[in-house]
Amino acid sequence: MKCLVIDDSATMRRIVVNALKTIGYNDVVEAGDGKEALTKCDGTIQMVITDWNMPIMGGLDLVKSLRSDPQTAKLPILMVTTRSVKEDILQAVEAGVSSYILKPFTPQVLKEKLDQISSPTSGSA
Amino acid sequence: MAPGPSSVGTELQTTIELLHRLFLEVEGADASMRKSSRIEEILLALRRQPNLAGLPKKLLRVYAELAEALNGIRLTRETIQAYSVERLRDTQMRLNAVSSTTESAAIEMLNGLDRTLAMIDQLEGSQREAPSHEMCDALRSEVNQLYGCLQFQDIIGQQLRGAAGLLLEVEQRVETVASLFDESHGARSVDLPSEAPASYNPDASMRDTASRQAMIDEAFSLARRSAPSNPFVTG
Repeated sequence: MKCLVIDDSATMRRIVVNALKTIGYNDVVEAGDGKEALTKCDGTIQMVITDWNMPIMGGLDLVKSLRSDPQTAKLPILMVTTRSVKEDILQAVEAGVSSYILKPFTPQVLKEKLDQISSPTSGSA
Repeated sequence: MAPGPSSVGTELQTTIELLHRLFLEVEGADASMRKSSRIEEILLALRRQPNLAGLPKKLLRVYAELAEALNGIRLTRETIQAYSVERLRDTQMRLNAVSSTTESAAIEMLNGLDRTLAMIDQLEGSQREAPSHEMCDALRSEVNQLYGCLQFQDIIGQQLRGAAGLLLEVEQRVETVASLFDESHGARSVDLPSEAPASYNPDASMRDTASRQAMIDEAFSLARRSAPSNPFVTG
């Protein structure tokens, strides 16, 4: 499964990519913000893992943009963020986030969420 | 631009002095000049003001006190600008330096971990006296755990950027307050930076991740139920 990892922190991208590799996701593309991510959604991306707070285009706007485009509307999207306030969660759900992980995370939690949102019964893929 | 307090004070003092001189001149003038009953009336009323003669002196004293107070304020402003703003700026720069230092260190550690993983693969693949697969797996697991630990850099970086942003705001507020006492600039409105979408979360935390993730899962499920129109969430 080809994943697109979006985070403005290069360190965090490498950590997410490593975590993905340990759970069997080896095909990974990276982007530093939402705008760059949109240019990388070429139809081959099957999963989006995005940070929330980013310059230029944040994670929430990216999710809204992906959901409004018929080509990417059904992509499973995982939000990986430090934001843990209930209002944030509500906003994420309303924007169309498929699942939500708090930083710092473990590869096990990442796997659990990715399995949930990529399963055929999830209605995301 | 509105006149400063010192120029208003000087103007008032000059006016009072001129009035006083006018009063003395009119009083000392000959009777022909004072034959108007209205002028007589005014002179009489003025004579009944016992403090009028001393008013310029009193005004001068008030002005001197005001000037002293203004000077004190000016000194305070200069002190704020010289020390507080400089210190705030310095602290902000230090925070930024800490942030970039931890990022560089984290990247170095990640590079080291990459090399270690490659070495484990190499060891495992080598023909002679290769360590057991179990040992390689255990080593790999340790290294991968270290990758996860490096998330501290992202979280601390966000906290530091939050603190630096706060310092910047305090610095701008202090400068604004200092400029309020600056006569040469007149009254200034508070000019703070507009709220740009933050690329950090100042409330980022490393604490209680497991329990907070559980709370988030619960909140996410609740939000999903109250927003059934979202077809993209897990079932």
